[in-house]
Amino acid sequence: MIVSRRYWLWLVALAAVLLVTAAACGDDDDEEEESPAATTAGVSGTPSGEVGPGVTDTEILIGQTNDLAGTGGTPYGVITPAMEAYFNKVNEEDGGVCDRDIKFIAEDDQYQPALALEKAKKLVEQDEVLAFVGALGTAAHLGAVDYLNDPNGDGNHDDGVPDLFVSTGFSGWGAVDKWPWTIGYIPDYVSDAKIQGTYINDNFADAKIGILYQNDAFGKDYLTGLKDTLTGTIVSEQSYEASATDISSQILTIKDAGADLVFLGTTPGFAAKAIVTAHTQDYKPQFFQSYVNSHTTLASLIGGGTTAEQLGKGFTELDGTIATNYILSAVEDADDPAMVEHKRIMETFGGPTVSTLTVYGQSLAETVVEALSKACDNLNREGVLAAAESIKGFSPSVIWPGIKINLGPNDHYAIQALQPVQIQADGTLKELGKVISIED
Amino acid sequence: MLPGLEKFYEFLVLAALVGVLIRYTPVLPARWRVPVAVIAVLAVICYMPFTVGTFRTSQLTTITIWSIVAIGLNVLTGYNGQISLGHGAFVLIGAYTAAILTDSESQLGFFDGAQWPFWTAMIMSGLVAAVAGVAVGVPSLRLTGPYLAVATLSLMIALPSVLEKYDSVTGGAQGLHPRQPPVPGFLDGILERPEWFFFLAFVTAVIMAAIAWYVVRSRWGRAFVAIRDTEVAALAVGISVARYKVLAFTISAFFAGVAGSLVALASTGFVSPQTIGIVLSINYFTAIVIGGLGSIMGSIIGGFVVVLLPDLATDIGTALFGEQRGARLWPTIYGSILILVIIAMPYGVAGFLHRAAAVKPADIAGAISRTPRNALAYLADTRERLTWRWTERDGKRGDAP
Repeated sequence: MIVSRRYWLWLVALAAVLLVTAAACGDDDDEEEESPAATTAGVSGTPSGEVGPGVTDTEILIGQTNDLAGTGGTPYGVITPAMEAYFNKVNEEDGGVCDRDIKFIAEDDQYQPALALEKAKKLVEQDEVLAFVGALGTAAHLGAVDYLNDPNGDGNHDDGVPDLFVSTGFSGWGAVDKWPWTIGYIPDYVSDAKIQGTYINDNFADAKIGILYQNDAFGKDYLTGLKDTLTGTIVSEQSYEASATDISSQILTIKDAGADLVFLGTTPGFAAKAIVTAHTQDYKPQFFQSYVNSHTTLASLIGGGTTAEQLGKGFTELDGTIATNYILSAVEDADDPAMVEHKRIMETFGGPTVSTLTVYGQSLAETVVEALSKACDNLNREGVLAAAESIKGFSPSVIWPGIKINLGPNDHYAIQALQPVQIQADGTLKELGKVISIED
Repeated sequence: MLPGLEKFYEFLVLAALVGVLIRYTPVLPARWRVPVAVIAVLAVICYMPFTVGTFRTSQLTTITIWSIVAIGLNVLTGYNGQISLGHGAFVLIGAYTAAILTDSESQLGFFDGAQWPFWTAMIMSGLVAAVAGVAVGVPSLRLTGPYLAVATLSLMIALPSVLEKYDSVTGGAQGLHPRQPPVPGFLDGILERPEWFFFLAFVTAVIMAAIAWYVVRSRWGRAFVAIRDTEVAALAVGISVARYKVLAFTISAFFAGVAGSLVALASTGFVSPQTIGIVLSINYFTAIVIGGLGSIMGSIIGGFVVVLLPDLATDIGTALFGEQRGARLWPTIYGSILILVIIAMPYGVAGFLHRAAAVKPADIAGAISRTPRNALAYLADTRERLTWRWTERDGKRGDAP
């Protein structure tokens, strides 16, 4: 009885299964046509050199992973739409690159290494991107970098995917032997330390130097770079844990050691704490700090908010602190022609509201376009890597004047020059001397 | 043909349909249905890595690994009633154990320095995590419900900093790159690397699921359920509540540890303190609630849900709001879907299937035939109540002054 009552249901379901099976098996024919490589054979009008994956007559496909929705707790998701807006501008106003439009796809890795790897696999194997550009986050990208340099895992780097302009200051991206396809973009922390060390050697030769650094990869990069460069006397090296709540004992130790110049290899929260603690102890050394500490962020941390009054209080404390900079500011340089153009691009091509991060995104996108435009004769993965390596003396429009990107087969660090600047009590930055480059 | 559906999803739909059909339609004798359904589903999934491409294969590997964690967590939460939001910590412990043991350079001083074979490292990872489970389980005896949830969550929050602190062993923030096991000789030429990793995880998952299936139906399992339902009664019939609660924690941590070793060896080949974050750790809990508490099948369904639903949410977001905003809005859509699932399926997907199977065609037909009448009755009722209210109001208005 039961069988007969439900028999019709069973039959319908069986039919559904057969349908799905048929669909699953029937797909095989379509797949091969979709492969971009097949459509590019014998393209007329394009120069010699075999065309790589992701390149068709009309498109160049590049990819990125980023913490797009911010679920990983980072604010960097906004860089991706800013880059996309710039690529849209290139496609619509400049006729694309190599007579093709740039198509940019980003995947959300939620700042998780495992997801970054998974999404990298998707972009490389399913979407077949020509190159990775501006992958974001040290912790996340460390999950994907081995794969991108050796997708089939045979220990041989021949089959790598260009992993251009990684957006983190980790100093390991330039390790050409280990990761030949990876090129770093922003100044790494060791470079920043060396540049500031050079400035200290030239201008504060007799200083007694104290160093405060965070006890992790970030802080140790600064310690290494400084110790390599500084010729003066280091009187005290103090570290703190990233989880620490109080660093006053470290500051007091540095004070007691008699340091009259203190370098802060710290993140913004600790830089603010260090400066405030020192000043309440009536200790006023010349502070130097990492470029990760944007001066407005520091001022709002010290002042306790972003109102004009609070920022003013913060800048009073920060007055005279020396840091480095490599990019135009969204606020102070708003009248600069490059920034006016940047604002127009973001507004016309669907970009986000202008901020330091969108300026950064555009500088990155400009560098990507430069690399691609040098690879027109050889639009494949080897060609793109070689083109990126051949970039010499290139300055994106929104980068600090005088800073040039120089790369080479053994130089996989893009920006290696910084402008020393001094924070003024009114919140502006005063240029100190010239851009310092540590390019080999 | 199913338009717009990728081959990968077609296979999953196929596997689900085959499984549901064999399980719930009365063609086979009742006692054969479950095993045959399981074998049929496993067969479809075994075939998938050879056709769906490397990206989807590695996604399947992730699903398999998360399913192992979810099964273990379900033993603890679904069967024993203890909540853990910090299971990611045990996964991380397992991953680090496997990475350290299979890498001769970073082993602790008191080992002989030779690399452990990967399968011994996997078992060891489970054991180390189980010891950690005891260490957490014993103090947690005094905590129940939300208090236990917060205590376990704090474990997950603390562990990454601890790992960064002892960087001589753990490699600090840069993590460890363990040697992933190569394809064994007898499978060489048959399986590619991603397929080998999938089957390594898959076979482990099948074994672990079988162990869990056996445990929850054994004396231990009955004791777990008795404690979950009422602790006092369990105590009254002579069950040592403390011992079984710690045992549930230990078993559950063992599962998480084994899954962790697979993260290190088969999934990413890279372990850092950020490999498992708080969000992921809470996602394991989401997985078993969505899949179905107190159900091994539910745990596996949960594994699929937490890996694939964000992708699907992104696709939906892209279709609705365009590529750029869709990619940024996916968490909203993901959350909405989770809420809808919880409302529509309060006992998870597995519970929903069980209840749906009990619905007879006659019930559906009856419900459909009653619908117009019900709707009419509802309308009539509403109209009546509205009129009644108006008259009532009129009456009161008359009374007031």
